[in-house]
Amino acid sequence: MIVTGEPTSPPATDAAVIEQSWAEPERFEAIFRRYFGRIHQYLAARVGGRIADDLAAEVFTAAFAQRQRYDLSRECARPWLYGIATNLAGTYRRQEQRRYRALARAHAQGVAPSDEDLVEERVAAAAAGPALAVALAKLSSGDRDVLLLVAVAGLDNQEVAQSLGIPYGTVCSRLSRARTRLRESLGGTNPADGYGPANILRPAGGPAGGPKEQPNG
Amino acid sequence: MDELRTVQQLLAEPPPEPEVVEAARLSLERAALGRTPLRTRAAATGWRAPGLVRRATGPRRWPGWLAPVAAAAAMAGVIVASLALSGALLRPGGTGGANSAGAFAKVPRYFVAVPTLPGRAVVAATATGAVLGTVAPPRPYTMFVWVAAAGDARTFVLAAGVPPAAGTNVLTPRPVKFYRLVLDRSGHPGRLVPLPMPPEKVTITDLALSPDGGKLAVSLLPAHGQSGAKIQVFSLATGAGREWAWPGHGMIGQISLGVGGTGSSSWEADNRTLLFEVTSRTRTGNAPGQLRLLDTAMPGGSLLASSTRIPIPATDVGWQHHNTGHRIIGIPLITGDGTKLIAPFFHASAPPKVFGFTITEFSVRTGKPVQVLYQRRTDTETASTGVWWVNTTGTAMIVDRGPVFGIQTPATFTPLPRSAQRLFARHGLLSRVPAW
Repeated sequence: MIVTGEPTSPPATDAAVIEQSWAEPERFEAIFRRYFGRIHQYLAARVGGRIADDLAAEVFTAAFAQRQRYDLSRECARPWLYGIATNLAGTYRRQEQRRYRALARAHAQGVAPSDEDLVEERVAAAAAGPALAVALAKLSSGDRDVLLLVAVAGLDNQEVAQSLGIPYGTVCSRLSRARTRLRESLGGTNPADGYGPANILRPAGGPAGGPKEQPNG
Repeated sequence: MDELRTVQQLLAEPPPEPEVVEAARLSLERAALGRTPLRTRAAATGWRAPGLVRRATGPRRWPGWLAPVAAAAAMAGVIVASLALSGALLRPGGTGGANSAGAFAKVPRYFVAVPTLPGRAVVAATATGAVLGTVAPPRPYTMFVWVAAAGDARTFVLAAGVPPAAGTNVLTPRPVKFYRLVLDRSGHPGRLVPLPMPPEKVTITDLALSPDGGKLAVSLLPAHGQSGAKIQVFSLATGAGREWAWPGHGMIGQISLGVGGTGSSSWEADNRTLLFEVTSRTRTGNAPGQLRLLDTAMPGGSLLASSTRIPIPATDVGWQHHNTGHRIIGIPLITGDGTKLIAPFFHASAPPKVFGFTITEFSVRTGKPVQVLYQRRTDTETASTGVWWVNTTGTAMIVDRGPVFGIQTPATFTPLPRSAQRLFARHGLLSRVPAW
């Protein structure tokens, strides 16, 4: 360990940690420890676990290399990291599409994601799975990025705007469009509203009822 | 539950396995020591920088001043760039193809690549990517932490070690033992032979093997509580060593020091003169660097007193407030005749930011740039160019241009075959560290 003569206690904010890592690169490990798991889960949701293993590592090595350009006025590094992750996931668009189709098939065949997840919401998601997965695959990449940063990463719209480097209004419109399309794919219903045939037995990619006209992406 | 919640449930994934986390952490540690390349987008094209090696007008004030370890990371010159890179490359004379056999005749026939995680080293042919053998780290070691090549392209030294223990960081000293690996005439690896140097608990920042394979130079971070970075030079025959320490007086914090790149090119062909870079962080956050030549025949002691400075302007070396947009970013390699430095050079323009990289040849005697051998622009600061091997006269080198490794001559760039690159790069990220 290099002796720096400076305090070794971890700073409170991500920005402070990153600033310290400019001079003491090993400090960056704190960022890794704070966010690696969540970034990995986000990437795994998009491209599957095997590719996520590599990509998540790459997110942090890329972030490490770019750390001196981090905007220190942003205390939380979460949007920044998710932005890098989203860009990297974009290079695996084909694998992402395959994953959604595989999810659709799995759900259509009644393969539950987990035996322990027999809670209401999980069942509802499983029931909506095939149509939802296909709808996700059909979204434009820009709309899907926004949707998944909100739904999976848990960012708010402002953070998504920071992550993707796009205006706040664009985030809102993309999110609205993506949600509309998902709802349409589910027959214009809320998936939690019931477990009827329209939701459970819909063939993958098949019509879900309701208006089919969709706004242009 | 709305559709967002449904998506969340549909795509929910478990947390990563501990070994995945550890592998990623090691990858990051490699990056901190400058051994891991990075992939970023770099899509811009058509840029030329005729004055790239001239001083930029006026100081650049960027909020990024790094400490020596970070500088060492940059110095390793292994940051790798983009997928869409081919369009961004400015080829001095075209890309090789028809004469690729000629290009491969100019570089070592074999290379050894050590994994960045516990595992076996791979020996392969440069021109074909054919794997000629693998080598496991001898017990109790589980990984190779470093590798260096001699000038005969068949003799290598590998440093065997262990992964960092839980709760330690990349700079925590770990036990290291050196082994020699000699390839036969057809490139197949022989047995690993332990070198007579006793195992040490150190943090290595680089290795360099002399062209004749007789001496090994090791650069070390300062021990805990001390301020002097060190270079050790050992005789491989006897294990006898000498040690030089950089005096830390007047320095605040760290001194980091890198010796050459992989391969023998950081030594002159006389097998005694060693090129190294020393960087020291100041109280202001600057980390000025110097390029120096160490006469390893001199008695051990002060690294400052035993070495002479190459007159490369201070503004071109190290990380300083006024040169963050214009500097040598990779450890230069010295040609065997001792007359030229081959250095990756970074340049950034004033906003709108344009980033460029060159491989520039400097005169060792005057420290002045002589010619730009290769240049390209990118749209991101983290793209880069690295030099991994250079021949005696500086007319052929193995470089990475973004994610593509190849042979650079003043006229052509000949990519290594994909089968060879796949042995050490995956998704644009180094999975093994190669040495020629």
